[in-house]
Amino acid sequence: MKKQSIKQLLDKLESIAGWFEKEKDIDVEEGLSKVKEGALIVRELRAELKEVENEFEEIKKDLVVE
Amino acid sequence: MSEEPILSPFDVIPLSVGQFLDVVNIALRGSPASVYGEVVEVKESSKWVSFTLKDKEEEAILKCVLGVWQYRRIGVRLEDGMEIRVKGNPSISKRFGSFGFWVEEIEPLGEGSLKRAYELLQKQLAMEGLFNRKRALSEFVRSVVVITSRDGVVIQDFKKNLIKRGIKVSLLDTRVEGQSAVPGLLSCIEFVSKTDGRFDVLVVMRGGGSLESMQAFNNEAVVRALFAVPIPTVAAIGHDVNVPLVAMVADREVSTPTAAAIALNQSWDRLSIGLPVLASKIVERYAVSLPKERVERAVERMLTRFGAVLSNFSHHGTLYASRIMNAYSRLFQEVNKLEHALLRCADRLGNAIIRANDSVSRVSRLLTLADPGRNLRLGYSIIFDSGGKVLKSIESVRKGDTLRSKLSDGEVSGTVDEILGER
Repeated sequence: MKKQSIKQLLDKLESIAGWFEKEKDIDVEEGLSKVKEGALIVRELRAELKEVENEFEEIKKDLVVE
Repeated sequence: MSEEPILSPFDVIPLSVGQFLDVVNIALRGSPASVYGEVVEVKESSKWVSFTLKDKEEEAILKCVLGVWQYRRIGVRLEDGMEIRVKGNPSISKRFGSFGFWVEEIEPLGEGSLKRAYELLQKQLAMEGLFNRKRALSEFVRSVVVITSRDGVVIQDFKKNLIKRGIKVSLLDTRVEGQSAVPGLLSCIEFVSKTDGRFDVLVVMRGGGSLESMQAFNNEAVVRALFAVPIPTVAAIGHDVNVPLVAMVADREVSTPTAAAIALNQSWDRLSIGLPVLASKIVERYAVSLPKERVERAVERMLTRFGAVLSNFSHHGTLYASRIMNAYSRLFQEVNKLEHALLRCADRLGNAIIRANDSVSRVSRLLTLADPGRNLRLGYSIIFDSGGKVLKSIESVRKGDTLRSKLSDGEVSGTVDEILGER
């Protein structure tokens, strides 16, 4: 996942959480639809938090010195 | 035996003054030298920087000159009284006929001179505002370029402490010790500046050291090159009293490679810390918003969508509302991890409602098939006797009886002429 989409998904999740905080009288069905949307986003973002080994490379000097 | 002719100076090919000085300068250019002394009479014009190197032991001076561009590239600020070593070539000015020294490199000597050069440059750069700009590191760092020596322990410490998120770490190996590290550092930094978009952040690292060993990190050209890097920069350079100027110009300054790794790890905080918080907020708020009667009302609304045909089956609504509430209760009783709660909440409540919808649809279809009106429209009819009872057999019918027949759009009546029995 590109980091832009992580940002976008987090923004979306924040807006859903904000909706729940803002709404005083939450409609059950609308709330459920938001929860489902949020659940899918959480599932995607949780995948980004899995431990993945970092890569390491040395850039050759001849690429640097002109 | 023949005698060698005696040549006087006037017998060699005569040269003009300019030609002669050209010959001398070509010869001198092949004699590069390294000379040390005390700086006096520093002068800077728009094109040239000149100073005199004075011998501390005897009365001897050397006039030195270099272009302003070269002075900036060397990156060491000079002031009267500093002790330095210069490298370059001797030369004679054709215009003035004076002997001088073309400077190519300058290195302050001794702690006092190094400190003074550091202070002069720091003052100048601060005045220009180079230390004021601090850019934020980008979120979710995935690609890091590190400039340091591959042989140092710092790169190992950095790698060991970097969060495991599949981050790509690219190393640009260079010398980091003393004034001679300047060209390598410069070429690495300029390389990064040209690779726009490939890296999220640049980290410059080295362990601690004396002012002398740290010269390249207090070099004007290096500092300015780092300032010009288009991506955010982190300096992880060990130091005691004097913060290296490279560290001061970087967007983030830390003193160890471990701290640099932690700074990059923090770029993931919004996800690693924020995600569970957001998930729990949503679950908790939705939980609070779901008293039993509101769930029941929602189910009722759903059931009424199927119209009056379901009116006889209203107990199903109560049944499904109860099932949904049970699922909901079980969910929040057993949820331990809040981030999972969202998924479970959505799945269970969603599935319960979907199942309720499916069941109601099925009942609706069965009722439709059983509707007598539908059969009348298909061509069947219902026959009533004179008392209004539905006729189901010929046994209760007698010849001459009056019967009434109900069709889809009305009724007809008639008299029985003949009873035929089963054919």
